[in-house]
Amino acid sequence: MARVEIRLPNRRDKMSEVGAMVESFVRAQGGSGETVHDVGVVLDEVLSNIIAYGYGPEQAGEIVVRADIVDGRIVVEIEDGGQPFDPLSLPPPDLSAPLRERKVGGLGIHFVRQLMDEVAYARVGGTNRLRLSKQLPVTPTRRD
Amino acid sequence: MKKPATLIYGLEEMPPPFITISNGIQHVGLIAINLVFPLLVFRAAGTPLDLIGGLLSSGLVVLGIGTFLQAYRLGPIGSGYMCPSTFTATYLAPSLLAAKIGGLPLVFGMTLFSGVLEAAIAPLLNRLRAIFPPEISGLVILLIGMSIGTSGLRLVLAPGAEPLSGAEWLVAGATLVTMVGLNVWGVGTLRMLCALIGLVIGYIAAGFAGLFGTTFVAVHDADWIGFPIPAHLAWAFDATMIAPFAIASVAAALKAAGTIALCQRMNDADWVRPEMGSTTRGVLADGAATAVAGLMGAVGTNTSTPGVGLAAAIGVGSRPVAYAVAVLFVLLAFFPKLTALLAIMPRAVMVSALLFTATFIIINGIQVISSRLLDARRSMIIGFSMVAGISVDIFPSLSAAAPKMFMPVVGSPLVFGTVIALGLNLLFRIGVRRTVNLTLDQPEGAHQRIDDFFVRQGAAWGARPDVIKRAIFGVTQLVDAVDENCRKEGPMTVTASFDEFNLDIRLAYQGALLEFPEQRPSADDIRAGLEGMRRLAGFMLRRNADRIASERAGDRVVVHFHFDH
Amino acid sequence: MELVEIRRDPLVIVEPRGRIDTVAAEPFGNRLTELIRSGSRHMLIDLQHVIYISSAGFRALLIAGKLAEESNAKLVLCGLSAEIKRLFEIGTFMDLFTICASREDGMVKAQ
Repeated sequence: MARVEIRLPNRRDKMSEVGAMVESFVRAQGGSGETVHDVGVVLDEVLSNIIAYGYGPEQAGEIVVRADIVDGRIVVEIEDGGQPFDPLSLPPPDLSAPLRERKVGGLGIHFVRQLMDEVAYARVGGTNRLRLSKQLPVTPTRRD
Repeated sequence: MKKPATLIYGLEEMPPPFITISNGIQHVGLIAINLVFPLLVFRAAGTPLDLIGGLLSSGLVVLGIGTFLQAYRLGPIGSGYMCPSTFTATYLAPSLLAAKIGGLPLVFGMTLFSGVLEAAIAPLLNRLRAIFPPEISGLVILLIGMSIGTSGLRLVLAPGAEPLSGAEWLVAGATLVTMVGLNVWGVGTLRMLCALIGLVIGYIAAGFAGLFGTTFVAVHDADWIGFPIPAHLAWAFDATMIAPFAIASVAAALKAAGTIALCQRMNDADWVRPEMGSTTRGVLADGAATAVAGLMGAVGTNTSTPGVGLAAAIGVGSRPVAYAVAVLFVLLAFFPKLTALLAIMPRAVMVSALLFTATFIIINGIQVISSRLLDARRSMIIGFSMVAGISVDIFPSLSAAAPKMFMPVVGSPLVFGTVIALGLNLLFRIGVRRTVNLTLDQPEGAHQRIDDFFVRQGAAWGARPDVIKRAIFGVTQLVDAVDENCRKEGPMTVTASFDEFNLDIRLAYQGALLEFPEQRPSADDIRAGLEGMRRLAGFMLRRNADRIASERAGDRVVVHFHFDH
Repeated sequence: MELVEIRRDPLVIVEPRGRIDTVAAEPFGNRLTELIRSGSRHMLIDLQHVIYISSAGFRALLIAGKLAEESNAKLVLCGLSAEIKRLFEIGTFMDLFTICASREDGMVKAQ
């Protein structure tokens, strides 16, 4: 079955590579331009979060990204061995906060929730596992 | 909170006694005309003249209590602002219906119910915006305005009504001409009190025309001074009345929230958006006042928007003025001759008063409707429900033919129009994507595409035009600055996500990070060249959004804008 | 952006239309500098048809403003729509320019 697995170090400069690979996978599976874009945005946000919050400054680690098609849904799983960290627990954007620069996390997770149908977090052993899924269009357009 | 320069006496300040009292009198004068609402309802219920005077006295006490509750912060109740209470047109249509079906006990019972309901929804108000967006509250206000106008005309033009005599036409004309004339061409206090002056002129003209007839006996018999005790109070409840009164409660809550926001803005030079704390407390006080009205034999009350407008116009928003207004209302209740005089208001004067008040409410409704970007969906929501509402009045046979259980919905223009609008609003949500993408791959025409994208999406979402304008500026300026200074290659992708409370925009591109400094570069730095200009762009982008964040991953940059909605 | 110029000696009214973006800011700024250099001492910039000003546009205005000051020329702005006024406010530029509410006031101020 259609499935792709990528392992990457917790380094920002590797992120866009992974994004591109998963996007081309989604496109090959018949995802529309919108879906491809959505998955790209979500992956970007989640990986940024893990790299920013999950590991110590000098700590090297590995992140595993898996993409799969199950019953017409695109399912993306992201695993990392960093500190226990549930991105869904990030407080929603604080409306009363004054103008100031914040970490991307709080705002970014908003897009993750908006763009995906389901977002689930689990701590399994020493691993953070985030599972994201989204319905593909019923009549997939082959390449947009 | 910073006192604006236009305000002479701020909320916490104590104006001199003369200013406090004369201001209080002006406020009472402004609100006096709204006494026609309870009067109309009492008459529709067939209440004898001698009882109406007592009920009106009791109503004045209710207004005093309401004004006091709003200004004085009693536990969780009261916004603390100078925001007088008034009888409101919002409850007029449901109250007239209740008067017809179950007489005064039903009016008072349902008013009590409405007040409790309004207080109950006060904490939920912010969430309510999603189901009750501004274009629908605007429609409700518009329908209320039209129902006031028509209920005035019904007094004299309905099939069963006695036709207006020549003298009555003259009195009605004199009243309306005075009110309109002073409002359009008058200045200062004359203009502020145009409605009250119109009433006085109308009464004088009616006296000369002999329109009072035998009713003047009621004034003659009334005492100069007496306790405001409403006679024969009773309460009734009818489930079929829940829908019309519930809609009126929601409308009153939204209106109170709007008026409190007006108070906040008037008292704070740094005001940006409604502060929910005092809004909730204010709506709670407004509901409490309406509940008290139900208990004491009056119709529903609401915060007085013209009252706050008057305070802003003369620059006095002090809390002691609110106390003065409250005391004056209660004092007036101790003069039975005065309330008896109000009770015998000739219908010719009443019609003009109702027509006059209707105009402002109608315009207010139109303004609220057009405060949002309207697309095809919203245009249809407004159009269909407007026609639905009006046809209830034009084709009474339609609602008469409906099953009895639907009567509360199809029997009232206000309720029917609102229900149609709420239904269409839910239906039309189908197919509106809350999160949308735009890819900008070439600089040519990018600005136009950004404009088109946000205007179209803003309309589909029903977003506020000012927020959409800020979003357009943010994206355009970022694209400009990045193109000039930071771009390496490839397209820029824009993702915008909207719900009723947030507009979030995410922009991703390959290139260098743009800085968002907290301080503006000096004018000389900006003139000096690219560096200053780039920092200016970053500074303006920071100030343009409610929150901004950016992050770099390799050579890929993600910028977030957040706008509160 | 289009640039319209109206001459009412000694007054020059400059009326940019559309977007003063990064691309348009250059010819716009150049024209203002040119006018002042060639001896215009009374300039009114009417922004009523402008829908967007970028940081580059503000830079052009600041440069022209400075040059006008040095050349003893008057440079007055008018016709700010609500949105353009907001941009001047978030850029904290309101105090750096002479800004008039109406074109008539602007014409008097620029004399």
